[in-house]
Amino acid sequence: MGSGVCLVYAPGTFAQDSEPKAVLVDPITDSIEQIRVAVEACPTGALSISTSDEGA
Amino acid sequence: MTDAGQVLDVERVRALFDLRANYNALFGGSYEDDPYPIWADLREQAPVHPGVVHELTGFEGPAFFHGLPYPDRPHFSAFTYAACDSVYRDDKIFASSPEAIELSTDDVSPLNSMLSMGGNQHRRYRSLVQPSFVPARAQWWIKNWIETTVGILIDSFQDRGSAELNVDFCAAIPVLTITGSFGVPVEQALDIRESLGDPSKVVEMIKPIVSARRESPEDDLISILVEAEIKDEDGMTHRLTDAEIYSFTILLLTAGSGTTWKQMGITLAALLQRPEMLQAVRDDRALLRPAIEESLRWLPTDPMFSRWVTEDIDFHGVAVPKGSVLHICLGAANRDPARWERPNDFEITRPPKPSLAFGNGAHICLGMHVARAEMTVGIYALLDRLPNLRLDPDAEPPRYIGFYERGATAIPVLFG
Repeated sequence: MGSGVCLVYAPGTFAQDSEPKAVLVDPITDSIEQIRVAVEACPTGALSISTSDEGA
Repeated sequence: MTDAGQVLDVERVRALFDLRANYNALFGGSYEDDPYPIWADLREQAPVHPGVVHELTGFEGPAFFHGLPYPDRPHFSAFTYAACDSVYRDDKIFASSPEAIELSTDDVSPLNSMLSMGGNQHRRYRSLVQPSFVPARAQWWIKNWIETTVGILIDSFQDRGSAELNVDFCAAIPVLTITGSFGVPVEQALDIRESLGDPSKVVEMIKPIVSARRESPEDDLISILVEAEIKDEDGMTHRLTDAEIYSFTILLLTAGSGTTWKQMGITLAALLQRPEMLQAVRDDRALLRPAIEESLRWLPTDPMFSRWVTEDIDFHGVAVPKGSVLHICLGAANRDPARWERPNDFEITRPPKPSLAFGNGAHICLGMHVARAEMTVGIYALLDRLPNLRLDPDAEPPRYIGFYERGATAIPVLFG
């Protein structure tokens, strides 16, 4: 729905496009802890973190 | 707005925003105790209790708010963070109104709006206005309306060396921001504030603006609303009707003026009562945002909202029948020790973590980023322009009162 809550907790990770959907910024400058808080905070549960070994 | 701002009658602002009068007895304004120790006991006893929050707190009222009184329905109240959060996040089982909302009627009222809608209908209406309320839009609100309003208000008392910030400052900022965004001139903003109890009068004042913006849009919120398009379930595109726009303006005025005012007052009072903390914020303005977040957690102005239960459920061990009203005591949830250490302490250096002050789920406060911007710009400007800002030691210190609408009594300060 584009509440923008993730931008409050991880502004160095999330931005919004014109819809306004959450999009990732590049480069990401937040800590993993900040990103976790932002993902948990999403009011509609629209965000999740998936871990992968690729490119790490 | 600067020209219009010069005619802002500060005496009239004071009369209109008289705090004692505003703490309407209907919302529990006569309550002057501290509910938090009782809420802590209730939260420890069980996540969910039968009954309504003010009665469980030992306050007989009168106290009405969202979800009250509905005497023909069973009532339950949730007190833990986990229980309150799960109610907010499930809008299928916990609906925002007792029955479906039909906006085509001419009944213009704050509840006859997307506040009470569910599912796709809510999503469609919210998506129309959401783009105007995202963090990236905060600067639009600040530059167009918030900064000017804050500046005019501080001008009005800066030379006096003293002020009563709750009424002279906090009260006026949100209502002038919202009416400014409607394109209403400042002198008429106070007429609107005066008429809030009678939506038809507000509609009379908004009506000419809506038709003017349909003719020729400007850089304001009404212009965005008249140009917004909504897709119905059949994929047909519609524009908002005048009645839908009126409903939305009433909702914004009702939801956005008293709340931000009182929360800004709570934040200021909490900081002024802790001079070393205020000094820390003065020295490092990056602490202002965490201080505002902490005030939202520690003492949210609206500590309770309600939902209507759509099916028989077992909720945290309590049988809650379909048709019940479930009251979310987010005030108690925001001090749940399962989520925060030392939950009763006002600490501005906590690691950032969301509270339920703005709600959660699909109905999370639309205006939260604008409210944050108003509080941040307002308090920042006070610290910039009023050196040595402090509570007046000879005046009655601020106290927090009210039950379903909480706020500070008065915030008498000296500076210079």
